Amino acid sequence: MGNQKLYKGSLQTIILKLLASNTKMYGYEITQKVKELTKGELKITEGALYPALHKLEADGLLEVEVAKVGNRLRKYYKLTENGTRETANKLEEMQEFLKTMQHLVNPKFGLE
Amino acid sequence: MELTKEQIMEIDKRLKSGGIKYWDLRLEMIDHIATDLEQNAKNDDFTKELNNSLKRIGYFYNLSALNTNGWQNVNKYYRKKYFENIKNYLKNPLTLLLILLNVVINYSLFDYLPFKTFKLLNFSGFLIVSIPFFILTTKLWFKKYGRFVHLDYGIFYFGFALIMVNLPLQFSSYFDVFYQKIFLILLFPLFTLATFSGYQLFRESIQKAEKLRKELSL
Repeated sequence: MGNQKLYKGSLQTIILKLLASNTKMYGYEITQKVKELTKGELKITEGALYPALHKLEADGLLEVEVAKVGNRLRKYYKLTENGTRETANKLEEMQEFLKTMQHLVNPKFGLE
Repeated sequence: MELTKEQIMEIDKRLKSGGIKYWDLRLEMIDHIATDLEQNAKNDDFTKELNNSLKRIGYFYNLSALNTNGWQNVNKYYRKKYFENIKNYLKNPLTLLLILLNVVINYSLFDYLPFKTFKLLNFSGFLIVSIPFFILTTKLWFKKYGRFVHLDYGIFYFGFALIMVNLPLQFSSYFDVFYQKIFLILLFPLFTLATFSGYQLFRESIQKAEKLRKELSL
């Protein structure tokens, strides 16, 4: 398993990206989807996931829908209009960050 | 395998005894554990499987920390909105006009009334603004919502100005009567705005509780 600390700062972007590709998702589904997409490389702990979801909700980027599933209630999260815009910004920031890191970690020397 | 109502109740009981006091926090955790159990439980011993699930998810040893984290997040949200509301009221020209009107009226009374009467008049103002807090929270008590984290903070911020107002009032008594009067004139509008902001959050928290309660009874 990779260094979880490296992913920590990107948790919100990961959640936003997942919700942008799926109409609505619930907590457990998010953790499983991340595990599946990263082939188990990244495991989001519930202690980190829910505070992040609640923060995004508090910031107005996510809205909640509650539905009854079996004998319990389930909270679904989906992007708000503001959240959709913010996702695009965050993804752009992430691309820039990755590009910069790539330059730092693996600089290519040559005549340009 | 879909969990039965009794099994869901057992998870709820377990979380409650582990320190998750608020049912709105437990709600999401129950779904997480129940989904995990439905997908990963291997034998019929439910209590054993529940323990395994709690360990797998990472809840087993830090339930009370999750409770703390939960209410801290909610508090952060309400605190932010509380001050944002006040800031927004102050941007509204009507609010500014009302504040100005209050200052003008108070200032004109300022010279004519003895300080004791002036103080009494202002304190009555504070009391009138606070009356809805007492009425609405008492009414709420009869509705028996249980421990709902949003409601706790809704009530807290509704009464926050009332709790805090005592401090500057005590502090101002060390100053000259003239400054005490000025202080009261300025404090009253601020108190009113803060209480109104708290009232809005209180209403929001009740709406959240009502919505969830309705969905629970579906």
